[in-house]
Amino acid sequence: MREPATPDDRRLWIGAALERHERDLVGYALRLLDGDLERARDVVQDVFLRLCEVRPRDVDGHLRQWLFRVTRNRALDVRRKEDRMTDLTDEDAHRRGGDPAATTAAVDLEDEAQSVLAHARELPAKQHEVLRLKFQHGLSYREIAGVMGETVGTVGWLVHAGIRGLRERLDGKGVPACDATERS
Amino acid sequence: MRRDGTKLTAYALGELPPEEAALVEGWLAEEPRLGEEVEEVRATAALLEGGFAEEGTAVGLRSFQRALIEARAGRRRRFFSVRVGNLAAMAVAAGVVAAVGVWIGWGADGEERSPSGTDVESARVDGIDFLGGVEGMAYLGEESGGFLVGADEVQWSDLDDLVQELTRPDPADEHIGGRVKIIYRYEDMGFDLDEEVIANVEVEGLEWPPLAISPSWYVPDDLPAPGTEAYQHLVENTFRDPRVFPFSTFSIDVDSAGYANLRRFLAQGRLPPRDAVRVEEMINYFHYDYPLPEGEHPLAIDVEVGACPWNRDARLLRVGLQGIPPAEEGRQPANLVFLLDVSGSMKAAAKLPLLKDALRLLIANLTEEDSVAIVTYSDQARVHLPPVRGSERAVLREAIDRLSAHGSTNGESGLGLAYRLASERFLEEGINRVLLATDGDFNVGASSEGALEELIAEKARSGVHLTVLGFGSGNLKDSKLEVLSGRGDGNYAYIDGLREAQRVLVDELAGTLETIAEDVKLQIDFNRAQVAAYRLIGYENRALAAQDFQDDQKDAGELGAGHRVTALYELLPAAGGVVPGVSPSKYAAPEREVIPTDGELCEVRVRYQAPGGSASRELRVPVVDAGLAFEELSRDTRFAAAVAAFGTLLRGSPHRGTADPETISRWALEALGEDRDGRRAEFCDLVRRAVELGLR
Repeated sequence: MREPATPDDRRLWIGAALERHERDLVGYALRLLDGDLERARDVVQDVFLRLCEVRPRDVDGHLRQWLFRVTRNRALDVRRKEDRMTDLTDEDAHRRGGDPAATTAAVDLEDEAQSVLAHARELPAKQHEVLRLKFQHGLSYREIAGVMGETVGTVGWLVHAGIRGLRERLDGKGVPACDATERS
Repeated sequence: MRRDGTKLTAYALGELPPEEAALVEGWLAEEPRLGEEVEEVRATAALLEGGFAEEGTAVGLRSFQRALIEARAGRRRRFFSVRVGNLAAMAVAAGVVAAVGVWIGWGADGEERSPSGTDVESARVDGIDFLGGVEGMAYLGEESGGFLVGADEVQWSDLDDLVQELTRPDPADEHIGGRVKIIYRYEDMGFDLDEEVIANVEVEGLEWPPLAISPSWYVPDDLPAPGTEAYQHLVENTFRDPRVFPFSTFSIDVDSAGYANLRRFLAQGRLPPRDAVRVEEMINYFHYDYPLPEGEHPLAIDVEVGACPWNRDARLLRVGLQGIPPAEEGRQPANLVFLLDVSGSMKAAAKLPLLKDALRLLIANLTEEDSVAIVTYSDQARVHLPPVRGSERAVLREAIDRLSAHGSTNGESGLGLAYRLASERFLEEGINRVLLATDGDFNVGASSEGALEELIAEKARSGVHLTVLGFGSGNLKDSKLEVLSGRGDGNYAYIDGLREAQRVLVDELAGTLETIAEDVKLQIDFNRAQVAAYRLIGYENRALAAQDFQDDQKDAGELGAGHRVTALYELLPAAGGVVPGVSPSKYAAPEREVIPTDGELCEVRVRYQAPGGSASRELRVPVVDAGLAFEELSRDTRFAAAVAAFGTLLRGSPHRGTADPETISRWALEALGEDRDGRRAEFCDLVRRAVELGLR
């Protein structure tokens, strides 16, 4: 990509990046931050401000991956701090990912799309996350690996296990103990 | 052949490179059942895509956030690199200049980075002018005792707007390093934002442990533009004739902000403006050993009279007021709400970073009984930390770490919020206090300054007091801060370094927080048979009318546990004393028979209210001059006299008499005493510093 030489060029470049990725990143951060929209926005704002300090050529070709990775790191930083806070302020109920009551309710939903989301939330966090990166944000295995700091092989396995776990839940097979078994 | 489910899934999702995809297609041909599985994966994927899409969480940033980013994008940047070389020479005491090589290279946006080898000025170890061309400094957090060091990292930034802060080295590690936080400032776009980039720093050859902390570690800000620091103009008290004015009445003042402020000026290499010199605050900065109160009153009066060292025709009267010390079992539980100014101007090292260190010091002294909340304000006020117990150190520490400065100032909304929190947690049997920390202008919102003061006064009546902690300089609105704290029956301290923070928030915490007497007024009734004229040294803005003494509606200062107040008078004895330049009006004071009082010079009266109580109480002590020479006075009185004389000189006062810096130093040195906290020795240094700066 051409190096934006003038401030105007840079503004266009950043503007385009905002246009293209902003909502996805907020959605991703939102998930990582348990639905706290303002924190998610703060995180994404930080990410773009960081982007302003980066030379375009340094992120050329993997901008989306870069954005997701920085978002993830920022969000997890924030969360680590928040978790310390909530631990001590006795609000852990809100942090327990899978709320059993909500799950039961969700299964009753006619809408399959809704129930797939509810089931997805029951999956181990990393599986849930790769499914979102893959199917919500359209990242490739390679990009996801870059974002999460995992190998492509691990990402492949996580996606696979996630999909299998979902299928089993959708088929009413209950919660599988472990998804590591291979089919032959 | 092993048929890998993971690979099959990847194939279904089109993630496999061609050669591997071909392999999977081989499996599919062999085993049609696998085809169903591929379809299942795709179906699940479609379901997920649909589900996620329907989730409807496509929310973006707020418009101001987007505007901020776009504005930042269009800003022209320069990058630079800073390398700090061998800092070994920094381990020098007493302000020796150490050579520190700083290399800076920069270029316009988009150019290749090439750190050139530009040497910038050397850095002064005593904390002034560090890093030369690169604004700002680095300092270490409280674990290391605070000292200067530089950064060693290439970062993009605006060279002009750089502030660095080095935090948390590992004290166990011989290799001294740490993280540098580089804060960018973008003020020219209408908003003021900070961003922190953490860089790793390694410094070789620095001796460990570093220097002991000294008050000037926090590099002062740029010198203020003329006129931005507001000091109330003070007209110095002059001699008064007791035939005309038998009473000298004033509110006590235990603030010592004036002294810390003075110290800052001298550290910056300037003599303070005259109106910034508050002699009474200088005097009250020091510890004096007065007898503790015994009996019914929570305070005691101690008086001494002797020769005045700068005027051989005069006598010196020292009036001391001593509050009962905090209870043995510790102070009362406290409900503290910190109201912190985190507007952009607080970024400087002497402000927010110092404030954070000060708070870290404070929390070590809180207990489970205490409750602490933090409200911050810049453009908007927000609850930074909802009330937590004082024992929840980790939470508190984290909340302090999280503080950063940006935005403009809207103090009023923060104040309302802070008071609300304080009221929610109101302790009937305890301390309720809002502690406002700011660098200056406490902007009012929509309503007037008067309304703000009214709010503060009203809250004080309801039992929530206000302490004001002043930081930094530049636009310090000293008079306003003092007025605000005064309205809140509170105190005002100027924090110029960790040492002062330690004093206010740790050593004298109980006194800072716990009030033992409110509306404390002093009145001296001079015997005109003995005194021809008297001059109260300082307390100009604390003066009260004689009738205010009895008027319990009249606000006055409060006395904290263990705090003490000292006032000095210069007296001209009636025998031979003449009021300089004045002959009393023949109408103002009809001559009357003076009641014989066995040579009493005057009577000292103190009036106060017990905290929360309404009835005022009074103490009276007669004073007789035993004819002591200056040398026969207690060390404390002699030292206070030296401090007063120094203030008089700094004010350029006509009442300096024969005092000059040299004699002041001598008086102070001879009165050092034990000097447990080292303040008296520091005072001697300040006198010397003032002389270097041209004080005569």
